[in-house]
Amino acid sequence: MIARPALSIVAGLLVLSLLVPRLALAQDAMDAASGAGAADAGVPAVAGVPADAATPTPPVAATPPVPADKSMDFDLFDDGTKKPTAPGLDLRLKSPNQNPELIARISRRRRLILQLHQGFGFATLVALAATVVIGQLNYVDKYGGNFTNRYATPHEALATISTVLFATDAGLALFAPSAYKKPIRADAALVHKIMMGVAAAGFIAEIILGPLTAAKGGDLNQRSFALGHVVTGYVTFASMLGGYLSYVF
Amino acid sequence: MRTALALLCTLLFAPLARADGAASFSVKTDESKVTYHIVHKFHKVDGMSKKVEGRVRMLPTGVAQIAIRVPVESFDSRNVNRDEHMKETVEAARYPFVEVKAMGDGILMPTTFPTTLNRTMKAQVTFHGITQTLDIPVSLVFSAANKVVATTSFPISLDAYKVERPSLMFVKIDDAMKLDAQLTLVQ
Repeated sequence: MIARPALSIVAGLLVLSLLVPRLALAQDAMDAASGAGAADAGVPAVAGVPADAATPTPPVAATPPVPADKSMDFDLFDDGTKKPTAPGLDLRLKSPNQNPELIARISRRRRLILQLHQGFGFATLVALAATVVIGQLNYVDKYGGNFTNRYATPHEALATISTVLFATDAGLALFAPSAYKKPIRADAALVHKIMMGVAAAGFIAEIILGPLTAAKGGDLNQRSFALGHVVTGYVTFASMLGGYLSYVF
Repeated sequence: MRTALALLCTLLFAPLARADGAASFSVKTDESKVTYHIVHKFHKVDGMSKKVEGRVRMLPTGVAQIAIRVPVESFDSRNVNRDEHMKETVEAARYPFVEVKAMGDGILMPTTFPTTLNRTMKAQVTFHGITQTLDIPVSLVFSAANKVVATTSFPISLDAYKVERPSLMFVKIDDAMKLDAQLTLVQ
């Protein structure tokens, strides 16, 4: 006996539920045509249903708030915490336990070190250019000129300065902390590293060849050693310049 | 009786769920990309990401709601050191996404295809933890009822987003960074 009224109520609601959305859609069509919709009355949105479809309430005379469907307060991702979905967040951190504060600290330190790296790089390039020029003059003086030996000491001093600068610069680059993993790829960074690797080999060769050449004083083959030293110097400088330019261009 | 009531209740609410009349689209990742362009005194740099997530909801009122986000770490400028530098300056660990929420008016599903709609949308661009509201031009090409290609291009100021501009050879990059997006949306 209780079921019949209940069924009647539910049936009534059912009919209403079928009619209301259709009425709302009809209203939408009219609104779209007239440019003023029910939503403009500031009808609050129902979850999953636009405000204008949910409640065809007549406009209220008060100052209309931002219409629900014209508000920027929507979240189409349905993941309020903004968790990424695939492929999503993979920061490729060197350690997954690093927190943002620590990463920020590492990044600041890295930035400072790499600024110094650039400064030392410039200084090394200039010093190495001077070393090569003076070295060439020293070679010409010794084997094609007056043998005044006036360039020997400046060349040695410049070579020492260049080597120390380069070693410091390389150390800064190699020991700069890094928070993010860097894949090895064929890019300007790799060219820079290869060129600087060649330059490093050149510096090591020069450290051996320079004193060796000097020690060959009086030997017939000293000129050959000196020529090798000069050529290695040019190659070292060219590598360093190439490594520098790979970043600039 | 309970079953009958439950069935009726289901019938009662089911039409409400269907009746919003909104069309939803999602970004097709393999056909979408977002690119940034920055300018340095010595050269120009482009960084592209294809890991774009996005949803679009077109309401029957002609209002379109758009939400796009891209993981900062996914941008590739073809130089790993530069990408790492970028992640450092935009604090990728703290603010992992670039997000754009946009809304446009007068966007209804066309009856013929292809159809192009050009609209200026109001957009909230969130980057480096800061949200700025901009007006951005968006071109929508409806190639079919279930496929739209949206393109946009607009500049943002790195200073406005409190990004410490990266430098190379002690020269900072320009303040203006242009963002281009080409998104293929499917239903």
